[in-house]
Amino acid sequence: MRAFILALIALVLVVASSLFRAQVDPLKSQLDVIAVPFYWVTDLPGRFDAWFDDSMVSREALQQENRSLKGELLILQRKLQQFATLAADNARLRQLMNSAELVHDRVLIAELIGVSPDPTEQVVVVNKGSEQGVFVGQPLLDAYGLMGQVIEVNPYFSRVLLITDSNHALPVQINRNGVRAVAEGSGDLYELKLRHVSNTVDVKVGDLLVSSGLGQRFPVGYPVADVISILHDPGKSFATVIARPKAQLNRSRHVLLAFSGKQASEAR
Amino acid sequence: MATPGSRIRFLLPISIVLALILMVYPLPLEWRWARPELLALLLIYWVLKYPEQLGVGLAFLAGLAQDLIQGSVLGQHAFALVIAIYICQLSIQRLRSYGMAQQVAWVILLVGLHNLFLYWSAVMIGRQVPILLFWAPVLISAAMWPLLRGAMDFLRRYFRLPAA
Repeated sequence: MRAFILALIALVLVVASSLFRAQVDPLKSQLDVIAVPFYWVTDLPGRFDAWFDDSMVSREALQQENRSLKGELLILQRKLQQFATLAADNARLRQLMNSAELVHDRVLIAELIGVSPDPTEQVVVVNKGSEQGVFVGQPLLDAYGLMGQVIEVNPYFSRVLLITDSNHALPVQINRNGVRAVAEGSGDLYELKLRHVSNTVDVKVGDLLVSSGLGQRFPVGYPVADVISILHDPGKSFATVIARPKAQLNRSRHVLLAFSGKQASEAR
Repeated sequence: MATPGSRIRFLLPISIVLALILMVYPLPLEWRWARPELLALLLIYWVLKYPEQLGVGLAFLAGLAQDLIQGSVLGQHAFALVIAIYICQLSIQRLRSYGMAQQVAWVILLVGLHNLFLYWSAVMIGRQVPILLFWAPVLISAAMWPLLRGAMDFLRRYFRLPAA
C-alpha cells in the first residue's frame, strides 16, 4: 500500500514537472543547489589533471609550447588583418543593401564539469550559472562550432542540450549558397539530419552548414556541421542528408557561452 | 561506543552519497550505457539486509535525490526505484535463500524492471530509447552484484553492523 502511494506520487511528479514546467522549473533550480557538491567532487579528477598538466611540465616543454603558440598567434593575426578589411567591406555592402548590421558577440568562457548520466538525452553541465548572467536558450560554442543551448540554469551551473540530442533542431543554411534547412539531432553524437530537403535542392557532400539565425535563438554564421552523405531515394519525397557536427561534442572541455541578439539584452 | 543502530545510520547515508557521486561521474557520451545502476543495487542490498527498518520510503527519497542531482525529470528515478524495491520486498525470503548465481539472475529481473519503468517515463515525456542498448546497464549491473555484495558485506563486518 505504501509502495503504491509513493509510486503514484512519483508518477504524478513526473507528469506534473513536464506539464507545468513554468511553475516547477524555478523550484527545481532552487533545489539544484544540492547537486553542486556532487559536481564539484566528480570534477576533481579533471581539475587535478589540469593542475598536473600546468605545474608538472619541464622547462623545455613550456618553451616549445610557447614557441608554437607564438607561431600560431602570428598566423591568426595575419588572418585577422584581412578580417578587419573584410568586416569593413561587409558593413559597407550591408549598408548599400539596407540590411541590419552584424553585431559582435560577447562571450563568456566556461568549463564543462559534467555529463548527464541519462543515456537517452545529450546534456552537459557547464560551470557558469545565472550569477554570471547565463540564461535559458543561450547558445554554447566550442572552438570549432556550435555545441548546443542552455536549457536549465541555476545560480551555480547550467545544463546544456547538445545539438545532436534527438529533441533538438536548429535552423541552418548552406554556407556556399545560402539554402536554408533545419538540422535535427539524431541521438547519435556524430550525426545531424537535415529535415525536408527536397531532391532538387543544391546540396553537395562537404558543404558547410552554418547557423542561419532564424528562430532568433542562435546567432548568425557559426559553423554547425559538414554534410557527409546525401541519399536521393526516388521513393521518398525528400532527400536524406546527413551532416557531422563541427564542434567536438565529446572532447571539448573549454567552451564559450555567447551573448547576442534579443534574449541577451533582455536577460542583461 | 556507538550503538549498531547509529552505525547503520552512519554507513547507509554515506554509501548512498557515494553511489550518487558514482552515478553522476562524467562518462564519455557514448559510454553512458555502460554505467551500472549502482544506486538501485545498493538499495536492493540494504533492503535485503534490513527489511524491517528499510523499504520503499528510503527508495523514494534516494530516487528524488538522484533526480535532482542528475537533472532528470523529477520523480523519474523515484518511481522506478520504488517499484524495484517493492518487488524486492515481495521476494525477500526467496532472495535471501538463493545462492549467488540465482541472486544475479534475480538482480537482472529487478534492475531490468527498474530500467523498464525508468525508460517508460522517459518515453512518456518524449525521449527515444534504443531498445538494444536498454539491456546494457541491466546486464552490467547484474555483473556488478557479486562485487557490490562482497564490498558491502566487508564494510558491514568492518563496522560490526548487526546481521539483522
